[in-house]
Amino acid sequence: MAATATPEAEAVEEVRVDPDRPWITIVWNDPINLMSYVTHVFMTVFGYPKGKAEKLMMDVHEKGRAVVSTGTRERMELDVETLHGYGLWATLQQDD
Amino acid sequence: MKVTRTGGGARMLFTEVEVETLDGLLADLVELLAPDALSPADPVRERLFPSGYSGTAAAAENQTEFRELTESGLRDERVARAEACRVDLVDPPTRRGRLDIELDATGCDRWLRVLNDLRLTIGTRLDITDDAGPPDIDPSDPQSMSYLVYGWLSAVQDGLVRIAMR
Repeated sequence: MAATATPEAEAVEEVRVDPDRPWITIVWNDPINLMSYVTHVFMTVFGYPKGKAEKLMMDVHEKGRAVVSTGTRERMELDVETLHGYGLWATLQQDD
Repeated sequence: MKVTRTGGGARMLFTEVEVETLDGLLADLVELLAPDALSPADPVRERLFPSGYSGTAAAAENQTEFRELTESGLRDERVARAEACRVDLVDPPTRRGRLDIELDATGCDRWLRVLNDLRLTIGTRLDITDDAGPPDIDPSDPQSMSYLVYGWLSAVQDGLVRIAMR
């Protein structure tokens, strides 16, 4: 019996957490929030010009969702919390 | 009801009945926001305090952690603005036969958000799921009054937001 054994190669588990993949904040369509109000919130919270805010609002309305901001997980958590304070239906997730 | 632009903000002109109704709705909202007033499964709670994560990040531990981090702060914020708006409704001056609620920019923002909180609460209770808005109102429907109130709140909010956006 050999005194020294070659250690077996450790099974490397593939983990799909890429720290470089950015996080995104998504706003989802809902039937209660007024279109004008949603535009106003995007202008107020993110400082977006009216044109950009309106386009995002229309994306939410027509496509059911829109990515409204991108960044670190902590930053997106803050954005989602702020949007919830305005009554928008927002979530964060890691970008696919 | 009439919403008009002023130099630094907006003014809302209401009848006495409108002010009383609004004050009652705000009092109900404050009551609803008391801790444990809404069961965890209540759709109004889920609408006022939605889940924070979606996609592959929507794991239960993330949702729970986000909720613990944000819910009580959002609750306090909503109660504070509802109470501040109730103060705005105390003994307003009269202008052209209407009660005159004059708002600066901060007041506009507060009212926009409180009106939204009311609409989210009432709209969720009415189970409004269609972008087209409420159906034709049948006066014999026990919810007809809620539909009217919801429509009225929408009109006030839309008037204010158009002024706030410039």
